[in-house]
Amino acid sequence: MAWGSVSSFPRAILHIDGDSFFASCEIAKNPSLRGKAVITGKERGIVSACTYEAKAMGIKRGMVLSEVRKICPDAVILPSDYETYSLFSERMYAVVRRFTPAVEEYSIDECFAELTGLRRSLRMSYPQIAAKIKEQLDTELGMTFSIGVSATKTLAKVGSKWKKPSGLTIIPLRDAPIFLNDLEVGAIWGIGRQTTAFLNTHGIKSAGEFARKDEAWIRAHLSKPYFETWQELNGVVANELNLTGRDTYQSISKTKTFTPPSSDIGFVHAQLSKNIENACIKARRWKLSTQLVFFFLKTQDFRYKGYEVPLPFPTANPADILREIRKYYLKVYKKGVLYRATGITLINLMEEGTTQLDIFGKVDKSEAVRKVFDSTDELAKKYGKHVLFLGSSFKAMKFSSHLGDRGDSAQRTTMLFRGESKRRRLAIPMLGEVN
Amino acid sequence: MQDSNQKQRTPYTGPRILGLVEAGFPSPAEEELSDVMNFDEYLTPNKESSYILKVKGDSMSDAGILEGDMVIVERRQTYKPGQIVIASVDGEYTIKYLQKKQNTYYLEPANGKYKPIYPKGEMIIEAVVVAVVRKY
Repeated sequence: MAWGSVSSFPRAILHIDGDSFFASCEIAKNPSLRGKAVITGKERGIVSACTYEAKAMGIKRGMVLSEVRKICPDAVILPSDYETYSLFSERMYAVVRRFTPAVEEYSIDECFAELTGLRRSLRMSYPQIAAKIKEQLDTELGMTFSIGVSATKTLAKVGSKWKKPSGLTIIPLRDAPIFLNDLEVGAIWGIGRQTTAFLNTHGIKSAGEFARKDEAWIRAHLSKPYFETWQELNGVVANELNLTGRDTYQSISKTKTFTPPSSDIGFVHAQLSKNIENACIKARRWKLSTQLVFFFLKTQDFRYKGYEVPLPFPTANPADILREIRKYYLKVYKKGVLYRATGITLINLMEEGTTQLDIFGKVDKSEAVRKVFDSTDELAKKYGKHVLFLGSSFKAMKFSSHLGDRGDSAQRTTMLFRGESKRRRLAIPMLGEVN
Repeated sequence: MQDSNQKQRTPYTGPRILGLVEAGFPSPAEEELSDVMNFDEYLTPNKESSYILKVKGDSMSDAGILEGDMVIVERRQTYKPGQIVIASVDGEYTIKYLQKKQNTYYLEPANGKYKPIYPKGEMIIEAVVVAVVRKY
């Protein structure tokens, strides 16, 4: 379609991807890890990120850690330090915003940015702008990023994946076929295993073959998202940058696994209570309330059992939710069964203030309790999360979620400066101790 | 007196007093405060490249950097001799003066008890110290 057009960049969209981001953050904090197989996710029991050295040994995301230790006994396995990862993530966005205000914060380690029209004001070509962004990111964050620039988000993502780690791949629209012909169709952003199999059956193996299919065929055989992917591969922007960020939630979930598993009715309930408190903290932060929740208990052999529980009125008050759940909790909990996780989802969130009064006056009571939770939120702002919590969560709050090896917490929570507390720390990445 | 009394009879058309205005200095709060900065801007003017570390030991005591201090550092593209830097030597961070003698870079402590470090293997300069913070 647009491949034949004169312009190489009808639009110029940049995609940035942090190379093994979590693991790279760990190396930025601790240089002795450089060149080693570093893995994060210790507290989850599975690999959540790993360095290229680890990947070279056959370690993959999601792998169980006991297997990792078999394949690679020298691997350094660390608990996740989301606080530090988030600080680095914010910095990534901030560096890109020096060049353009139009940044989509796609995920903790990825973002899109619009460069269209910036050549004259920045006095640089698109490849030069991208190179400059990469240089500043690599230098200031102390880790590498892979970057792609092209006419659409989908093509920009082809670019950032083209050469990893530390790649910078520019795909002018007229060169897109060269890249796509060499690429399996399943490697395209948004094309999953099922669709790949379907396309393969129809004789479409490469992304180039997919992009060259005529519009009528695509429309007849595939649903709208794939039609949009097809358009994007042909240089037509179907997926605009989302610059507003997340402005609300449809639902909020909180799940936590604990080790060792437990059959103690009080302890398991405390875990659930803690999750409910956390979900409510988040709901209140976004000024949302819920009238329908789902809770579950997960057994040691990975079976889930739970209930959807309607609430008498919309609320973001954990006490309201706990009161309603109590009736169902005993139906789910079975004596002697080992549980490894609990979870809660606040379904169908609505903006608070749309509350209707109920005839039994429960709302009134809840409004009073609501003030208590407003104060807890204020206290949390001042002294850190969970400075005040429900008695029902006590057993879960008293100990970290994981005893033993998995209970290791990130170093930053224990290496403190005078004036910092376990709950509140400076918002600057800490690189550890220096002699 | 006579004269002024006569004048009072004629209708007054000049300015009227509408109230009292307090003389004195205008409130400086708004305009002057545009030229001040907070501690964040002062200590970390380049926010995205700034990091903190905790000092261990006394190898930089003569430079006023003591055990337990927080040093604020910046990752930069280039570093110059004479700067206090964070260097990574044999996979460990160390804080020293970066020095250069006949095209060889080495690290110099600020304490007579310690000897300069001439790295045999790889030495990477990670960051430059821009501030020291100590709370009492």
